[in-house]
Amino acid sequence: MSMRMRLMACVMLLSSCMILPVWAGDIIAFQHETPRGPQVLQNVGLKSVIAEFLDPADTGIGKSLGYLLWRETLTAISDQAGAGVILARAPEGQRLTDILAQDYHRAAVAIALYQKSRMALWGAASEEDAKVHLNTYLTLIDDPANTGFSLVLKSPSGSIEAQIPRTRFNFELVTTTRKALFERNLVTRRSVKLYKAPSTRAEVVGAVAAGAVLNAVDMDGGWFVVKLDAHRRAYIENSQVDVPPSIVDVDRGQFELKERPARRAATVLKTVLDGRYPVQNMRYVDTEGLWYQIGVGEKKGWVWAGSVRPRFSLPAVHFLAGIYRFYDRRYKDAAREFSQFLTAPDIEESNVNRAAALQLLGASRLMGRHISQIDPSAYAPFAEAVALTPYDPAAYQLRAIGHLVASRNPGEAVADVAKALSLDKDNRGAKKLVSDMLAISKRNTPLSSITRLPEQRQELEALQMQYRIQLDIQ
Amino acid sequence: MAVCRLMLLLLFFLPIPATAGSLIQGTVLDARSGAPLRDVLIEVELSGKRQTPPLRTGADGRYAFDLSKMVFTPVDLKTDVVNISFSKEGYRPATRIIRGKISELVMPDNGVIKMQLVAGATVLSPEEAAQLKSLRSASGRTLFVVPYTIQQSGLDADRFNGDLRSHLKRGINTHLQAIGAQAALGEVAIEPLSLKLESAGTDKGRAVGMELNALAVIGGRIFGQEIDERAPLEVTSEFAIIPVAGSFLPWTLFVDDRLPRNMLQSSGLYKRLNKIWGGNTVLALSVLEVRQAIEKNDRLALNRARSYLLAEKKEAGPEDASLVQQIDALLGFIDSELKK
Repeated sequence: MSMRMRLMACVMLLSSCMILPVWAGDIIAFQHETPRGPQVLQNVGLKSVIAEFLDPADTGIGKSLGYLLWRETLTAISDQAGAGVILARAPEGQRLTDILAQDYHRAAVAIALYQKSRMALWGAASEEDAKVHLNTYLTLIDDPANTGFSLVLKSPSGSIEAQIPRTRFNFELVTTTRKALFERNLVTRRSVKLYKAPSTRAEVVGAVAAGAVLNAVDMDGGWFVVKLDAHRRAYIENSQVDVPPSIVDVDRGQFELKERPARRAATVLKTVLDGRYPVQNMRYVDTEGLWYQIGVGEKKGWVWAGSVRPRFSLPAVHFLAGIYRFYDRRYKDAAREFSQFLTAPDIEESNVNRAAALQLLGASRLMGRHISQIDPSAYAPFAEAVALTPYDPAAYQLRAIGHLVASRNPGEAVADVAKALSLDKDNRGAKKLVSDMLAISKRNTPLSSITRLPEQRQELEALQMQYRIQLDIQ
Repeated sequence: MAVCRLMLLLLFFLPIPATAGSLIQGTVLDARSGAPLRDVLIEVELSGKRQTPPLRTGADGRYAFDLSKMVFTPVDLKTDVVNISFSKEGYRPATRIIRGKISELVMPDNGVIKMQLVAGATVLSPEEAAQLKSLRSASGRTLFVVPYTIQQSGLDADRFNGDLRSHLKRGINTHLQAIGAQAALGEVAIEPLSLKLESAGTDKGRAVGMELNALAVIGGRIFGQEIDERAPLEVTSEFAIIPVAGSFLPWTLFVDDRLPRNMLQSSGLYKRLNKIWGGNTVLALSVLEVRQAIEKNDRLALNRARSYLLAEKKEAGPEDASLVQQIDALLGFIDSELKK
């Protein structure tokens, strides 16, 4: 092999390393009743199952949505080692509605359990009058080895904890269009063929190199429909491409857009960005991470993905990505995803889901930090959650912790725990919180000093008497 | 009298232009006789805040109040949900939830509320009873849906009602699953009831529900101005819980919505009603569970019903104060039974 050819081989190899993001994705056939078949991604520690959406009218939108959300979630967590996503689809020739009948949510959860997954996302889609209506559901699978989501204040001399107990989410109906869902840029993962129809047996109408950007205009099952020119369309199978978000949100700030996806690359544009920008390209670069090429007016340039906030098709994708990040203790990334969920445009999310997202956002902003580094306003998401679910004892318990560590108001913290118990006198979490707070209030430790719980000892003892709370020995 | 009754009946079916603004007014009637009911206690809640002192109907059964002239602040008035509860001794409580901008508030049906006597329900004829026999629910966990009547051209009533039932089924069952109640409370069936019922929440509707061993009877009407296709449609729904448990009387719920026409596909309507219907289904199931628990002296079942009511209460927002009131009343009843 000549020197030139060897050099080309190295460059190509390097290119493929630069292009391919980390992904752990697999596809299984959806099964009713007892799941069977291989357990996939066995070496991946944190997995979710995304099921093909129910599609009662059999338009194919359910299948396409399953693929799209699967691919978007893979993109969202592409930089997270040990994380994977499984797509469960109907076996060839079968309709998911026929298989699932009335047991859709139970079937999805059963498959998630069988595949040792922590999350299951599924939904139902219908098309009417050029609109697509989507109902999406998410279940977090209980893990006996894990306490789930908890906000824990820990020190050598004691700890206090409040749970974020919600594990099932019925997200609000999203009404959108096929264009909003599927029209976007795609990036080929390798050299690929383009077909005249959604089948590898169809006529080949073209081929593109790895790293090429294609304009998708629609989806048909697991195939993207891409625009070749003003009059011609072709099909490409979804596994052959990376699926970037169609837009990113940017908080106001000074940015340097790069010529290529690297920190040391030349700057093509130095400007203030604020708002929403279309994504032209996406690349995962070894040691640099994920980058997006965005359009700013007539110019375009590369930004590091961590400096912007991708906007995916459905708020549920952000919520799911936030859960991945939270499980992995990537709290800053988790906070970003929950913020994206809460700021999804044109959707009136339910009070319950908003409250849960706020609690997870609040927890993400507190977790992993030393108490001295916490901003006093960090309890605000918990306060907002209480306003949304004023009859939920857990909301008050979480705000109580927020008052202790952020606003440093032990009186309000005790009032919140009292409120939780007034809503449910048998609430275990609230009773445990009283017990733990009382234990801390009786000691002379750094934790007692920083939370100022000794000031509330009398009030805590009164609660203990009123609700007959047994004290834990710490 | 017959002419009066006919006129009252027609009031349900004619699209009635309503007075916009924060004025709430109407009439409370006896569901069986149609006579106006005086001294009905009316409690108004807005943004979780209750009007004090409470109001009462006059001798003519009329009520009228202006929300902007009550204790509510301009911030309260920015909400779009008003809960109005009606109660009178000897009658089942009723609640009307009106949704829409306060400044553009509309009272469908001229604000008429029909309250049912607790005792002495309407008796069905033998023919009616025979017609219903084959539909009777063995488990008691069936919601019967009377087809919505649609006084608006251009809407396919059969398709709408078919889609509504399938969306409701998924919506209610996923709601039960979300609060962790489904496994224990069982699947809820939703069946059509092709019976001409003036209203689900009347004496007749309740008698039919009891004959069917129903969990609840649901019905509604959709009407709008045919002349202006851009105008929103008025959607009035009724949810009548059928089982009773001891002294606890579940309410009849009326929900009024103004919806843009393009939201009237069932998935849009389902979105608006889902939470209310899910919550009321939990209430209905809990009433049934409590009744059965008392009959069998099953304390475990009482505690289970209690836990599901608490789970439902956690879902409630500030605008769900009326539902929380019912939940608290049933919780109080359960606690008193548990103390025995």
